[in-house]
Formats: sequence, C-alpha cells, structure tokens
Amino acid sequence: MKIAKKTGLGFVLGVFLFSSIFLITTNAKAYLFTVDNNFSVEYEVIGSDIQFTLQLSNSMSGWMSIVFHEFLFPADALVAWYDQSNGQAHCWDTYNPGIPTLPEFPSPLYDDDPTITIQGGSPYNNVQNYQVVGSSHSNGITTIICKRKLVTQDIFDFQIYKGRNFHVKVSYSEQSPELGAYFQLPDIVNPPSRAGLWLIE
Amino acid sequence: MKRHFYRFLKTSVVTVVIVLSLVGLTVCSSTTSGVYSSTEEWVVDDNYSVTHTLTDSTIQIQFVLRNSKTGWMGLAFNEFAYPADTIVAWYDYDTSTAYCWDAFNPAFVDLDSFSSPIQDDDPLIASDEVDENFNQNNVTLVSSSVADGVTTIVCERDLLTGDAFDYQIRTDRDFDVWAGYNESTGFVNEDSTLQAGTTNSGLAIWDL
Repeated sequence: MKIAKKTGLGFVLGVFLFSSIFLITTNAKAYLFTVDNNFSVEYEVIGSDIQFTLQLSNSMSGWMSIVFHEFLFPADALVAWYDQSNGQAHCWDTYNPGIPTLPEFPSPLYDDDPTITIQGGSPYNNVQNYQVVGSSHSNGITTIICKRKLVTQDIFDFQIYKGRNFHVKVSYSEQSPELGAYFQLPDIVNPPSRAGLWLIE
Repeated sequence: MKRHFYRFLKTSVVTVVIVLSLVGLTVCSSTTSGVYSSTEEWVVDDNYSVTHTLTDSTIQIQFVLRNSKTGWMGLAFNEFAYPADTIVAWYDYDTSTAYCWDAFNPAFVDLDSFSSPIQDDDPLIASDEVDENFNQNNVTLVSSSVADGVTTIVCERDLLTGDAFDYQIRTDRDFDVWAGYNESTGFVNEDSTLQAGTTNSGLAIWDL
C-alpha cells in the first residue's frame, strides 16, 4: 500500500518535472520590431499560434500592416485597423495576387474574397485565420492584438515555421481605411514602412 | 526508507523518459519531406527527377523525364503548387525546341488560364506602373537533350532577380519546393492559356 502510494507520488513528480521542462522550453519569446516613432509591432509564439501586437502612436487611426514577403505583392498580408465610428478593431487576413487589372490593385483582397475563392478546393483555403485578441484606443495610441496559427494550410497564407527566416514588410498609413464593396487602402503605395528578416526560434 | 526513495526516484525518471519519448516520436514523425542540397538529385518518382546546382550568383535546374513521352516538367517555389513562382520546362518534339518558362501562378480563379501558371510577362499580371524589374523573363535555357526515351532540360536564373513574381533565392536558408510533371502533354507557348494538368507531384526542401 505504502509502496503504491510512493509509486503514485513518483508518477506525479514525473509529470510535474516533464511539465516544467515543457514550459521552460516553450516559453514564449516576444520580439519587438519598430518601424519608426509612430508604429511598432511585437510578435510572439504562443503554442501553435503567433500573436501580433500592432501599435500606432500618432494620434490617428490609419491601417497597420504586415506583408509576409519582401515585395508588396504577390503576398500574404495582415491588415489591422481601428474603426473609430463604432470602436471596433479589425484583423484582416488578406492576399494580394498582384493583378493590375483588379479594381482593388494594388491593395490586397480578403482571403475569402469570391474572386480568389477556389470552389471545391481544400477546406483550409480562403479562410479568415486571424482573430482579434484585444484592442485599445486612448491617449492617441491605438493598439490591436491579432492572432493566427503558425501553419494554417491556407494557400493564401504564408506558412510560418520555427527556425526559418522569412521576409516581412511592415507598414502603416496615417489615414483611415475607406471601406466599400471592396477596399482600397489609402497610401498603399510607398507608405512609411520597414523591411525585416524575422526568425522565430 | 532508502529503498522506497530509490523506487520513487526511478518511477519519476521513467515517467519523464516515457513522456519525452512520446513527444519526440510525434514531432519527428510529422516531417515527411526530403531535404536536397546542391547537385543532389531529387527523384520525384520513376519518371521524373529534378536537380539544382548552385553557382556564385545563379541556380541551374535540371529536369529529367524518363518515360519516353513528351510532357511538361516544372516546379514551384512554395509548398503549394499555387500561388507561387514557377519554372516550367518542356520539349517541343515537332520543332526540336526546348523551353524554359519563367512563370507565376496567381491562383486567380477568374482567369481563363486557372489553374495553370502564366509567364511573368503575361499582360494579365504586367503593369507599366510598377518596378522595371518586375514581370521579366529571368529564366534561360542552358541545354537540352532527348535520347533513349529520356528528355533532359537545364534552365538557369539568377538567385536574386528583384522581380516580385520570382522567389528570391538566398543561400543562407532552406525553402519549400513543389515539383510536378505531366507524363505525356507539353505546354502551349502562348499567353493566358489553360495548360495540361499534373500527373504526379512531390514536395521537398532545398537547402542551398
């Protein structure tokens, strides 16, 4: 009886030790990427997700974006913006096919836009994979936290793997997005931006 | 007391080892793609292989079709066939001409060519308003041969082209490559055309 108790305690300790090792080795590391005095992005891996905290400090409410490519298009892009009219934050999962004849060009399209939706394709394709985790808008600072899976299997998302470098173009606009049946982002050409090479360990 | 302590310690260690082994097994078994270095032949299947060779500033890609037929061969610099930068090679047996296309597949369903790639300078994706480096044909034919049912085509491009429709190849990182072929049908050398589909394809990682 006593032995069984000790053995049980040993098992519990084993699980505890494993959990400790697991938590230490998977501890989220946050990376800060500053574009300029107005805009920065912090990103961190949480389990199988990657979370982006985008912060605009210029007292305005323009769009903020991360393009997962060294060029503006063709590329997967996150577009985040705060709608002052209703206090709602948005994290858009978008893709820019780089087709000049599209009315949106050179703005990106939503991943689930009908013009790029592949009927009968993989259920992972054409999905909005971002969630708004949180947002705030006060004292001239807009903060939006967006999250997606590292690997979404959506062909219109850049798949992010730990230990692999990838290029980003991080940019923002001082103007608010103008929404319509389709969206065209103001200042999409040559916005304040910074290119980077990111590596998630 | 001492015996109980050792039994307790032993159980703890065994539990940790078992759990770590299970985790390790799960992680390792999720890796399915092969990794290929320069000059190493990637055999997609018995009919088709691809070999890349690195020089100082260029990459040469050798496509080999071994099925005594006349289909196209290609690869995409992505883990998906599209949207992706693509190179397509085929041999026109009527004119004895080999082709290397610098192509891009925009995965745009409204195009008549969907789901085929189109050339980088196809009017559908070309614009005068963007960078002059964009929409260029950066892939050239190096050599070709047809003998004993084996068609070999070697194409070459610069590692860094500055073209947004080309994957920029850097030697300090590995990247996914999809390769496919059609066992019997070549490409049509025209803009915006729906091409013959894929007979088989594979996925690998290139480590330059």
